[in-house]
Amino acid sequence: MTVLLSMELVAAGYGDAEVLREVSLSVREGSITALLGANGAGKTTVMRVLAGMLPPRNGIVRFAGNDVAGVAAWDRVAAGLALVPEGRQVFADFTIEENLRIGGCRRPAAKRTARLDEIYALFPRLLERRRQLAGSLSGGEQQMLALGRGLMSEPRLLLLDEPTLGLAPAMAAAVFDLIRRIREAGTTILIAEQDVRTTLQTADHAFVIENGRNVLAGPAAALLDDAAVRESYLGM
Amino acid sequence: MKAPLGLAAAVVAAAALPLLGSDYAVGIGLSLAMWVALTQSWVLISGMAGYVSLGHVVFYGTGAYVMVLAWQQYPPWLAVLAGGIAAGVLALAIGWPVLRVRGPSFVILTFGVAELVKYVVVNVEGALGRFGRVLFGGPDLQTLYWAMLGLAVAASVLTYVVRRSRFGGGLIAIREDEDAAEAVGIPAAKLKLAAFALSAVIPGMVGAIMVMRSTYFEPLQVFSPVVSFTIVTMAVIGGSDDAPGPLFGAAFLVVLAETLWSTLPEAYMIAQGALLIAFVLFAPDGIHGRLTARRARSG
Repeated sequence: MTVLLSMELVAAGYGDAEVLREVSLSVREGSITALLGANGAGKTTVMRVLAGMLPPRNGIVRFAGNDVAGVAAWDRVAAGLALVPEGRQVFADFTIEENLRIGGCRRPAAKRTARLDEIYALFPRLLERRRQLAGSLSGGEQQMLALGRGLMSEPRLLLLDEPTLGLAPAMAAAVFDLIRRIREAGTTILIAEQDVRTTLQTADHAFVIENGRNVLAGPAAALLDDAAVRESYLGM
Repeated sequence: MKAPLGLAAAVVAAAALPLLGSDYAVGIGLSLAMWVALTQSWVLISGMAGYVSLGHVVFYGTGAYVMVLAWQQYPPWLAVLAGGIAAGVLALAIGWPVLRVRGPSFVILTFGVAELVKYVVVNVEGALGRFGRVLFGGPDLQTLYWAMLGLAVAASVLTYVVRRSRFGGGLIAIREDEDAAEAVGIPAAKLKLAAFALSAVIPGMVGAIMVMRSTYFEPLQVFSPVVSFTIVTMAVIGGSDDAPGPLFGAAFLVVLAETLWSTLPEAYMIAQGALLIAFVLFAPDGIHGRLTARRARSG
């Protein structure tokens, strides 16, 4: 399998705060890859660098073989790299359907409508409520909407930043279910999560970062058995 | 169909004002049309995209200055057009560096740039040995009024159309959450710059017309920040999310000004300040927002 997305020796931060000191990772095409780490380890910063919302101070980001330095976030979406940001960030005053349509704003109009039907097939709840304002949805439903909105651009790779944050366990399980189905439909996924166990059970490969540096990497199944991971992240 | 017909009738009635009313009435009509055109334009960048401009007078003043420089060398209509273009180009020049960054820096910078341009013009005029210019022989009040009415209608239609376009949807997405907007592929920086330039063109033309009305150009007065603040106040009072808002806000404040200004000018300034505070606190979506909320509840 070829590498679809990679970051090599990336440093990044905000002002004087250096969040990422040196992080490398790669995502193989067709995989679910996990990015794990404690709160404040730099997961969201990695996602923002990959999505083009924060320029790295050092290092290279490649997508589909090309160095994407200087490519704006919105152009990365058009190229097939979409981010579902942390905290869902749906447009509260727009209806569900408007949220979804805006997610497909870089696609031709005809494709957008066809894609909308596919998304509704994947998320029947959203179809039922398509005329409601997104702000009136529950947290779990908003996460579904954020996922659907990200998928509207028909990305080759979907970046998911903590998609189960603040969700009830049953809802979180439903989200992981959807993530598997999205991958089966052909979309590569990089997921940043704090729920280490479920993420490792879902992912093929995982990277663990701490204080802005890589500390562990490997097949997800191997990490699940790793003594250090079990102690630090699974509390066993 | 009722609303468009009613609006068309209102525009026809407004256009007939010079034929029926006194010069005083036409003067008030001109003032109302001016504020509608300015506030509608402001709504494009500050209402829809949420980037509040505290210096919109700079575009008004630029248009006025273009008219002054072109006076009696080029036909007035051409100078009005040039004033609009100059204002749009100035907005691109200001917006290019500023709109890349987010947040309050834009607000502060719009105010700062307006003051800067004001004093540049003061100094240029001083160096030229011109302290105030008089513009004789311009078009009559009726003609100026019709031109301004045209701009008010154009600005209102522009706001209405943009609000319902994909462009407008993108601007509102930026206002709601710029990160999320970029994450779904909305080219935020480009849309903001386009909205800012678009919001400057009509104010430039308005300034070019108003300087012919006052027949006098004095930079400290033409570039007065009070113009910018009044635009913001009208947008806040009327509502800044869609085209009806500025109509309500401009009408409300112009009527208030006419009734209070002549009798109690100090009371007018106090009333304007008090109203601004009251609306921000109790009706942040303005008169139009209140009306639509009521209709949504009862309907």
